[in-house]
Amino acid sequence: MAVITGRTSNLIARLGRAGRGAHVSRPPAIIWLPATLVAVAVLLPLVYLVLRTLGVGGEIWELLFRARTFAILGRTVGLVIAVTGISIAISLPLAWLTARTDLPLQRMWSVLTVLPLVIPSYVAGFIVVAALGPRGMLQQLLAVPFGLERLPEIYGFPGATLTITMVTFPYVLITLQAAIRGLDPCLEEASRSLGHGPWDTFRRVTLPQLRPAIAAGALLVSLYTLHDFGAVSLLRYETFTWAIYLQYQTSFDRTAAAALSLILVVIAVVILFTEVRTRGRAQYHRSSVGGARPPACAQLGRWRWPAFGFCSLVVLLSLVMPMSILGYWLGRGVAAGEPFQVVWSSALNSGYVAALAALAIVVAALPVAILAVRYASRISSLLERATYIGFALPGIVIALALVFFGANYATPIYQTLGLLIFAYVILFLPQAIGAVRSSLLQVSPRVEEAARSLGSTSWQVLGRVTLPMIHRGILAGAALVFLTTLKELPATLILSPIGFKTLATSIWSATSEAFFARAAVPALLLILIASVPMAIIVTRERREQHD
Amino acid sequence: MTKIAVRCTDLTKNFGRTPAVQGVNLEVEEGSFLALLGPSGCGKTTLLRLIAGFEMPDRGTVAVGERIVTGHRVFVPPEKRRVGIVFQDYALFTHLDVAANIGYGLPKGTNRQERVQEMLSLVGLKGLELRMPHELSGGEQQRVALARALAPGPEVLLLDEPFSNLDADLRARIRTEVKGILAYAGATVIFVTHDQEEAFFIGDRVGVMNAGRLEQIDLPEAIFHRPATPFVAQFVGTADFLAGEVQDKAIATELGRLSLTQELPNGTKIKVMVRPDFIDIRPKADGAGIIVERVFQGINYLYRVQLPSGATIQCQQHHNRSYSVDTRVGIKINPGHNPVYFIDRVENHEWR
Repeated sequence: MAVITGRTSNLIARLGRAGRGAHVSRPPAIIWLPATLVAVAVLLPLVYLVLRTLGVGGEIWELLFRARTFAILGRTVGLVIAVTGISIAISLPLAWLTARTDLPLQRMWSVLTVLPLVIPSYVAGFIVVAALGPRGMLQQLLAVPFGLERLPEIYGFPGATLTITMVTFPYVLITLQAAIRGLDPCLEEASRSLGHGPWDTFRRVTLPQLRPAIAAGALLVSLYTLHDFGAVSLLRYETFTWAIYLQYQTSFDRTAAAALSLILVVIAVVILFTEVRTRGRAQYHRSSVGGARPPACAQLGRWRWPAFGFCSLVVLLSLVMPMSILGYWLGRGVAAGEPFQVVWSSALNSGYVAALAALAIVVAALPVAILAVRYASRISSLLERATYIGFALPGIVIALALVFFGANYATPIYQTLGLLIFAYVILFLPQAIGAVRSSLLQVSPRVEEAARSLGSTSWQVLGRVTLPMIHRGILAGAALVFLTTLKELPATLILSPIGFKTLATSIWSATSEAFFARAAVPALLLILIASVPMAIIVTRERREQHD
Repeated sequence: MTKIAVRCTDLTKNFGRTPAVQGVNLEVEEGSFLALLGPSGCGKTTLLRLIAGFEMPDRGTVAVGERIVTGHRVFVPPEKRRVGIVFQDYALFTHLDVAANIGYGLPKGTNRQERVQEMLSLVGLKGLELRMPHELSGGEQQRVALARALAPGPEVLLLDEPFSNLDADLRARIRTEVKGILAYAGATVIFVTHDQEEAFFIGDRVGVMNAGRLEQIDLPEAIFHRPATPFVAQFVGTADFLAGEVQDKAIATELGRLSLTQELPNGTKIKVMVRPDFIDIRPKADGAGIIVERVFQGINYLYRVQLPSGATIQCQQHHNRSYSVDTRVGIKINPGHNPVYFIDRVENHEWR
């Protein structure tokens, strides 16, 4: 699943080895011109946000340093730390069990444990509320035999943590699995031969070697948590995203929302830099050149079945339970005669915008990735970095910036699909660049040079050699963008033209008013559609592992 | 009597149905260097890993010093064996600097820093202790790996093709350095390579492996001049085989009678090893041989000469003896070589 996590490994790759096999020549205009345009365009909302906030003058500080801001900050950071910590705690044993032991049904577990990624956080949120909330399914189940009137409060921190962890831990799991598989077994053997036992070796060699993978996964999880809007609002846990949304909805003064947004961006940037800093001076790569023996497979012995139980529990809680609850509400919805016509048109709309977004994003990603990989220079890496702004900007922030911008300066495109797609481009461009970039790195520039020497122009080389060779990477990038666009909520909610309903917005409007039965059909449909790109990504990953 | 540092008895390991190591017996004396030579896939690395304790054998024992570390119901884990190893790709801990890499196997506290410094000066890397592995050249990485393995004072040091990742010109230099370091440290060494020159250079003794079997273990000279099996004869140096038959306590061949060093019944089929320097050729109109190939090697020409039976043998001649292909030549056996021969049993037909 390098594709999903490609964006961070990409960040890692950019440090140190700048442009392996870069051309000496200057890039052609056909590459650098669009790349520059893309980079400038995606920076627009941030620039606007900063100008807007600064324009207010001194009172901005009053607005920022209110006690309420600090309360929100505390809640947000607390949530990020809890979700990230729990995700690592779940993923480390899971990754080890599925990659390095004789766990029964290992293959199956490594697929099933990744699948929760297709469940959007707002769907998971409504599942948690429906199951564990007051008068929820669990309470009703326990009411009859035990006379239980109340369950522990699920709203707030516990519910938000549970919900977001449920759907994000696979990010850490995927990076860890890849890292564990790529670990050079000689390192562990060297440690053993130097007098350190298995546990000591794990602590002193394996874990430090896995540190970048853990950091990369933790980065994805913490940014996801930071940016999440659906789950925290459904579980009424006021973090920045929800506070910004409330501010936007309830007051005409957008400055407060803009100021809160800026803080959120700053936190995201801090997280990004922390991840880079944790890497320190060490360089991590597998030192052997292919052909290394596969790592030893640990015999679990009597721990076999407890380990099996652990995997079952994780899959039960993160996949089986949510799906059965959805199924239950689907049944109730059908029984209550919920109308389905609306859902079909929403599904069509969802697929349509997601496909448009995937296309637009891949087209935008290509010149940037080619420039960064093949024509490495200070400027090209600056351009590439600029496009990573989507990493730091939560969907809600981009959406608000575009609303302000569109309503004030670009009324013709305000309330159009174009603006929505543009928001998606800013948000998800890094994912596509990551996928394209990593597959470009696997194509040796020597191949392109061979084509040139055989009489092709650089343009022809692109069309006849490079693009065909990386088409799988492009497809995987498009699949990933399609998947995330499909799930995206806040930007879709705010920027959709009036009357344009997608699955995400349908689920949202139903669940925010607790019409679970009405939400179940679009939710299941969304998960079903999301499984298609997920399957593309998983099979590609399998193939790569076997190559 | 010198002490034995490593002893393997009947060591056998199969991977599924593939035999990797078959009934290997060997002894390495303390402070001596054993080079294990063989083609890739012959089981030499597996043998090393069995000694290190990374693999569990199907049968046989390994003793390090006086202690059985692998045997019947005994399996000492690698960390308790006092067996050091230098991997082909060095396997340096990329998250630790040079000093921490070297100090990794040393117990905490007691003059650890001193020992690290001692090892640094032994391998000539003083001043580089704060470098990270990726900031070192290939040769420096190699020396860090060596220092790291030597630091805890292992009873035996295993080296798995340690020079194969180096450039050819660097290789010769590093190999001399490493040999010096190891000799200075007084280490007992088992060294795996597929390069005959390297094996002869490093090894006090050389073991030749083929298809999981240790075919011969002896001094380098003996391996070359008195190969125990046809495989050893061909793998170490160049060798052709001449068919012969025992007749009246001598071997009758196309090139004449050769002396026989043991009693064999008349009619026994024999294969005689012929190295390119064993024979001499001169142009001769009615000579028995005809040159079918010539390869210029710089100082020498290597000729391939066809005999009346159709068999060909190689012959090395000084570069001033330049004969063209198709020249008919007389063949003379150079004096001073004891003929090496193998009884040509059907079982012996493993070799080409």
